[in-house]
Amino acid sequence: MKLANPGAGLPNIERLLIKNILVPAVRIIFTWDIALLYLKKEVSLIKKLVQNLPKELHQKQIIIDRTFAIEEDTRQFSVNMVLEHLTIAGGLVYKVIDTLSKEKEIQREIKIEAVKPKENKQNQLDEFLNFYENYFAYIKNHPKNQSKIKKKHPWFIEFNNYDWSIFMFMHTFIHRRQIEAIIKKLKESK
Amino acid sequence: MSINALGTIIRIFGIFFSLLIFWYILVNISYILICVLFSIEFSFQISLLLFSFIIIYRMFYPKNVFI
Repeated sequence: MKLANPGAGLPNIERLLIKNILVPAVRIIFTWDIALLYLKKEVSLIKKLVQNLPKELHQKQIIIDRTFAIEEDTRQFSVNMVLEHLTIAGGLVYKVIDTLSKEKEIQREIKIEAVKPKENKQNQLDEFLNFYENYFAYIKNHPKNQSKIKKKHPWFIEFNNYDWSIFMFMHTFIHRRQIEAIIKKLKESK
Repeated sequence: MSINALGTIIRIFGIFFSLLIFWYILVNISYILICVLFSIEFSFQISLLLFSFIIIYRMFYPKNVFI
């Protein structure tokens, strides 16, 4: 089955719905602490899902139906590839929040292709959990300022540091749903 | 649209709804405290009005959510 190339983006209706409705709405109802609390819950759910899945299935790639707000090419990811993507993308978001919080400009363009998983390696869960523990500690001690400097998300609009912290939760949530879809498909194909 | 995608959208609206309730409760706790302290009668319309005010306020502070 031929899937679209990485970086092909979201269907227009989905992208516009997120950009014009979901982004303004989350900016109103979230705070730094709410985003952190929800993110912690997502990470704990992902940990449970992955730990309950037999190890031999962690790296198995399977095609699922496209899930919401996820690119076409990611339909063939394994659970470990999703974890790897969350770790790579999360690391980038962490750096963006830190740089914007210091009111420094980020010259480099953010590219979706750059945060795609490359290895599909074993024991990705440990790396994933380590990264999120560092991120939680960072946000806990963050001054929670709203930066004036922004950095554009390739699909949406310019985000400041606060927007990126909410994005971190939404992104993890969307991929938790993808992991659930992969696990469901893996169980069906047994 | 897949069932998973539909489930994700429903969950997103669930999160939004729960957070709106959170803000409404927060506004009402303050309002009830003021009512008790100053012996003012509680009015449901005023509580809704205060909640709307907080939501509009948050649209523009600490940042304008539309830009």
